[in-house]
Amino acid sequence: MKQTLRVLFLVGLLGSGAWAASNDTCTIHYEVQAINELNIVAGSVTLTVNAATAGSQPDQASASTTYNISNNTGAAGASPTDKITGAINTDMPAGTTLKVTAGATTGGTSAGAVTLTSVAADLVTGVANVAETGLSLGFTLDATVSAGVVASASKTFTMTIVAQ
Amino acid sequence: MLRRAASPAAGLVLLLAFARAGSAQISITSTGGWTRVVTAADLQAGAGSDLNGTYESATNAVILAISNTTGNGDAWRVDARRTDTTWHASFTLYLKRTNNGGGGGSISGGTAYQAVNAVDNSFFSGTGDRSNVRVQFEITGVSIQIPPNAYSTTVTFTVVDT
Repeated sequence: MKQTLRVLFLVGLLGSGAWAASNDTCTIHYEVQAINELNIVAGSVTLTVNAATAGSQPDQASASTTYNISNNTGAAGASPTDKITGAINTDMPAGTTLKVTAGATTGGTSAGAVTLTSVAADLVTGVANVAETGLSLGFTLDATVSAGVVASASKTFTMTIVAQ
Repeated sequence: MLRRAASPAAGLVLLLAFARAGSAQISITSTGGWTRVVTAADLQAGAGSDLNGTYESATNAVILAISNTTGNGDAWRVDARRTDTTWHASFTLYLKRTNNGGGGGSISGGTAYQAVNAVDNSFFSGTGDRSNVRVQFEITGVSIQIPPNAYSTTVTFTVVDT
């Protein structure tokens, strides 16, 4: 009797089913440094007291320029913000008074006409995150008759952004 | 007379199974990164002006390599995502591929800047092993309103066998 042998081949492929993935990383470092840039547009201003009305103190002299500012260190609405101070290198001669009025930055407050001495005084407060040009900077010079004749001289005016 | 009972037909079943040898994993390596410090020198026009808003890295800030494929026909895709350490909401980070790299397979996509988000997004795809794929970054949203600080984020590149 003949017997037959059946052979059945089943071929299967086993696999994990899920395809593997791998990854790697890189780091992006980004730093924004404190920026406090201030520029007075005019290199110099000239103030000359040379007139008076009889019976009155000499007439005030005035001159103006502008300043530009870029500042990112004052957090708007937070405390502290920054401020701008002003000073001259040495005090004015007796009988003379030099004042400056700095226009306020957006959101800031001008101190109005400030007498300039060798000690820094606040000109604008509440300075925060601004980039502005053409802000007013006005100077006035008053001299009383007691000052006498003051020979031509110069002072160095410095504006500084500082933490409030 | 004895009759021999007929034997049932014998069957032999062979089950041959092949396990995928090794289950080798496609892998990706990333070398490099990008560091940028923004200073007053980046003001658009000195005092009174704002900072430049956009900055670009070198075209080869990062080099990617895809390896362990099964051959030039083995298709894959590279995804990218961002994980912030200290970041500013105004920043947007972009990346793009700046060359084709080297290899016997293919590469496509990813040559225009695309935002890197907090979830995986497809960056580029290809087949086969690929080396020296250069990546460039761009960041936007920088201004004088950004508080001074050190900001950092980690970009993760993931290769997916497709």
